[in-house]
Amino acid sequence: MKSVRSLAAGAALVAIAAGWSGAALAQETVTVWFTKGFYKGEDDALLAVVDKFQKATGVKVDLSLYATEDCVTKSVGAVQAGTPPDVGFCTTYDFRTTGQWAFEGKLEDVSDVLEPLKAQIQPQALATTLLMNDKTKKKAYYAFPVQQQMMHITYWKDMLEEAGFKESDIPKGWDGYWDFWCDKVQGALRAKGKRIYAVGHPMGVAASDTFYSFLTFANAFNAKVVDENGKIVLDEPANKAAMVKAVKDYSNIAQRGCTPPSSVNWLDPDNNVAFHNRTTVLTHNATISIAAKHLDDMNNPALTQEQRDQAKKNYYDNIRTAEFPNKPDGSPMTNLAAVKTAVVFADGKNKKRGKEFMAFMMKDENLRPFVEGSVGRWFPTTIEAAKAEFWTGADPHRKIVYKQYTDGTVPFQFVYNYKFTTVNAENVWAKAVNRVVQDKISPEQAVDEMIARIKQIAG
Amino acid sequence: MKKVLDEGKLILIAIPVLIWTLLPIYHLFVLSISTQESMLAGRLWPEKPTLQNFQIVFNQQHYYLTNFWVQLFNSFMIAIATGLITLFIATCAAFAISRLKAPGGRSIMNFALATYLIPAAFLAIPMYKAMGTFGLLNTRVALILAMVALASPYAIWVLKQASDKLPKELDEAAIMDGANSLQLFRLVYLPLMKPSMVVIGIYALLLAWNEYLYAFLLLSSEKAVPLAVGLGLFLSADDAPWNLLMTAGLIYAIPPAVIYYGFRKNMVSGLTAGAVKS
Repeated sequence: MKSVRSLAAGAALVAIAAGWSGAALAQETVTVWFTKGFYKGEDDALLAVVDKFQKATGVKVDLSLYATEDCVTKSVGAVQAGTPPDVGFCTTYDFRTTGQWAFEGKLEDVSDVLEPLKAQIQPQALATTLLMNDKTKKKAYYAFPVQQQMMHITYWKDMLEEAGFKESDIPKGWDGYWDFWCDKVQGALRAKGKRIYAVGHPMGVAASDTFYSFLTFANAFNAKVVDENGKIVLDEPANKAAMVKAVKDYSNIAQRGCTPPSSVNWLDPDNNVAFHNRTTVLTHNATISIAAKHLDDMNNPALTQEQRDQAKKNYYDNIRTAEFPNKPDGSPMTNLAAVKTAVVFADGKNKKRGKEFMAFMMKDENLRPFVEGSVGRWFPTTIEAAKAEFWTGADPHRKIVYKQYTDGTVPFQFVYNYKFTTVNAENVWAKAVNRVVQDKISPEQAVDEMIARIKQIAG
Repeated sequence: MKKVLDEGKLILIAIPVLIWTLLPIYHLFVLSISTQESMLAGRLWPEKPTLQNFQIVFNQQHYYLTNFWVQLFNSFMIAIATGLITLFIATCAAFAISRLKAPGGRSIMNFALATYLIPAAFLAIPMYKAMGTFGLLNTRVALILAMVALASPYAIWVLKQASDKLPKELDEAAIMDGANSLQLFRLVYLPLMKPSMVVIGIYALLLAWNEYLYAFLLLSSEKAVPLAVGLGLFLSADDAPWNLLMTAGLIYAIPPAVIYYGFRKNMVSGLTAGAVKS
């Protein structure tokens, strides 16, 4: 009797397994993992692309959407297990894994897809996907530049006015700019009895905002860390001196009490939170998500009319997106851009279709609605999409973003040396700043330690 | 007087511990009744408390809550299935090891327990690979099997300890009356093991209810993941609607709290059942 039951149970399991595999065999499938959009418009645009691709090819797209961190964690796990999807697009791949995967030969060479599209893609965005493969000892295009982000300044215009200043009072020069906010604006608001800090200045070691913000400061001082061949040049006297100034300046905002004391422990959402609750007048952020939140709220039917009206007022009147001030040498700021990359995995079961899917996705009519669905959080990588009315029109925040991109961008160091993904993950930059602010060591000593550690990791 | 002083000392320790424990729950609750504008104002109590967030969550009116009810159902389904399967495996195993003295039973139990020497997070990738090999990825079955695998060793151990406490004379009497092993299991063993089984069932259920890592690794579809993973989507951007996240979190925390308080007497007696050998 027992054996009959065991047989029946076994047969049932086999039948279930057969059912699963049978379903899988029924239609050709391409497996695609994407980061879930923050706004419905992003995912709607993606689903429309998927639908069009399925109709055009007859291939089923098995699409999964993940939260930002889950997406990259799951991808890393899948690559290690040898079972990656065919296509992956997580918005932190560029910071964490794309360069390393390309170096280790985990990605499919997509040069054949990107070469014909070269003229349509912004050159500096395209350049970030030309990556080294240690197996072939050659550089090739191993990723698709889907969208990009950069640092912006966001401030409360109404708080600035409450402090007794106009926007035209804001200096354009580097030192004058930070002195204005830290001394004049904060001073005026404090004089009115308000416990307000001028700047929301990310310094937490665990926050990507910190290294993005810090590297913007380093960029302002022209501190070059690696050359185009990935060789570390930070120890060259001019670069080292510039980095010392950047560390000194970045630390100084905390040392003069211009940012909330808790900012040494901030995680990525915390500068947004401090800004929204009006603890800070200004913050620097790697997208215009702060303003975009109010744009989303003003169109959110789940909120009351009063809440929508307030969100609208915030978006159009109270909150300003601005460029960084000029560099300390007086030249205009060149912004550090992070290009978000989609990849086709070499171990994907249907990578041929994966490449086809991405080629389809990269078409302007497909990519543009996807990028614009983020209501300005991401900027396009194609030339035509960047010129669209969406960016150049009347929107007060997006037109600043457009201007910043057209002013010129520079890539992160990990584009030239993938080991800088580890340098960033370890947040060597934030550690140096915290050594100065909390351990009271000199910026020179902090930079010496920084260089030593960078050489250990990426040398 | 000494008793009063002792109690006073205990209260002095208990109050900070209580505040420390309850503060996050209080924060969760306060954010859940706060509006978008006031949630980050840093007040101890919102100026205008509102149930608007609950309305948005229940009606799935935010984009990240589109699958709220489906995901809540998934959480229930996965947790209950894990609880029942773990209970079945552990009860049978404990009976075989403790009462039937199956050869090698103790070794198997010790081997199973040894798996706890490796943190569950380290087993995630091998488990992912195994499920991929069996073609189970992105099915709830994969998560249930993984959770059963994680819960079973402890469950077997606890039930085996509890089982050891039952008098052997009961088995002997039943056998004398002509009971076979299955009847012994069904008519003698199960009724006596009920309190321990309740606690083990709840343990496995809560383990699966609170699981995040395996759930997001093994499941992909938004309609297949439990609510814990669904809520993780809120952290996709640095401007998360914290009030909605906290509201959904509060709702998600209610079932385990109800289960715990509903069965707390069994929990205490069940947990201590195998603690001391008689």
